[in-house]
Amino acid sequence: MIVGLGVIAISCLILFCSNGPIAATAEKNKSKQEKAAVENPLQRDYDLLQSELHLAKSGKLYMVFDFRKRELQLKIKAAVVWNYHLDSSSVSDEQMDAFAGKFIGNGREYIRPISGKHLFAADKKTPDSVLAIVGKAVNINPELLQRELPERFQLKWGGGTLLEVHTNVEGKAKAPLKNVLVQVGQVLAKPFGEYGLDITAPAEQALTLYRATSVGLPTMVYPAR
Amino acid sequence: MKFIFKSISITAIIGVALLLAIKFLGKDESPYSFKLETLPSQPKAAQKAIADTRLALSRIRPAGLYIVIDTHANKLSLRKDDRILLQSDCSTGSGGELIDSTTGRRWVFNTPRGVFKVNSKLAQPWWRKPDWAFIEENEEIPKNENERYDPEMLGDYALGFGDGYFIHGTIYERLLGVSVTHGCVRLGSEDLKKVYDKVSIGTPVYIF
Repeated sequence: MIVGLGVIAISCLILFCSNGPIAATAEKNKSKQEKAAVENPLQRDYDLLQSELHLAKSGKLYMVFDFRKRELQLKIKAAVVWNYHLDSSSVSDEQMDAFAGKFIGNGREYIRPISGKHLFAADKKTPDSVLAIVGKAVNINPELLQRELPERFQLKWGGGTLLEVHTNVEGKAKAPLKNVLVQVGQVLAKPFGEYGLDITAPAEQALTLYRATSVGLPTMVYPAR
Repeated sequence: MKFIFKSISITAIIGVALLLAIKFLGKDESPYSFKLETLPSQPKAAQKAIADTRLALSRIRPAGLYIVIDTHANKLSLRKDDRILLQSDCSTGSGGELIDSTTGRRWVFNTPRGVFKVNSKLAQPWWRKPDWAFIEENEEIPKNENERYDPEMLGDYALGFGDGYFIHGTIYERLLGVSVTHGCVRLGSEDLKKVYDKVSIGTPVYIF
């Protein structure tokens, strides 16, 4: 028992000392540096470039809200592979500023992975009857050939930002109960500072955005100014 | 009493061990977190650091034309400097699976995703039918190599991008826009000619 208590005491000592005054001071200094860095526009530009370079080097897909160009982009190795223009009639400068401010926050976290994705409603791109014929002709399960054209879906990031995409497709609700829960959650989160952008996109554009994005996809924002 | 003390101390040891494990082993760095450099305080050095990073980023980006294949919407586009020069419907991999019941060999017909380069340009290509093409049709795999060649299937041109995958023409143009291929990318004959004429060996191909 004495040995046991000894182990506890030593462990607690290690545990709490490593979180102690030295660590706290370092944390304080770090946040001071971060604050200074965020307030310096040159440093912010440098941080954004470094962040994109980090993502581009990975050779994997990433998403960019490039508010300087009013564009939503998917990129691989810094090359745009998909883009959608954010019209000023649907997204104002103030909305872009608010979204960028919320996304980047007060720290230097410029890259955030998608933390949630929800499809409210969708419609089948090709009638099942057509795909049944095609599937038979080419020896493929027709279900594999089907694509869902989204009517409405949502992407979410940590820090309280979300993107809601609407199309002119008249779809069927995928999970009515979950839809209600997601909407209620959104209403409840708004007073706590959740901020969302709403866009309306052509169905085919939305199809790519919906299918190419998944939870974990790294995303960054270039503020307009 | 002794038993109670023993139990408490064992529980405490396990608890502390867990806490330590979380503290020291659980420092799982997010794949997106990395150390951001702070700008040098001298303005000239700061400008240089920014210019160097911008240059590094532009070197990763393709300098000229590049092909983008969107497997989700079955679209192929030819882009330059982020501008779309050409966009058309294509067909990409179905995701279907084929298992050879006699040997157990298995194929999954996906178009590979990632970054590739055009590594061959062929006019009037002949398709060398792989084993799966015969198995799929319930045909015997020919022993004579010459029986594998098909002069029609790939259309007028083929652009190879590695591992036996090609962007090529098709005799099934009505199916463009649907994911029906065995992994290659099928394009309509008119668009295929335009793409073939514009790209060269080494042109990057981005597939997502």
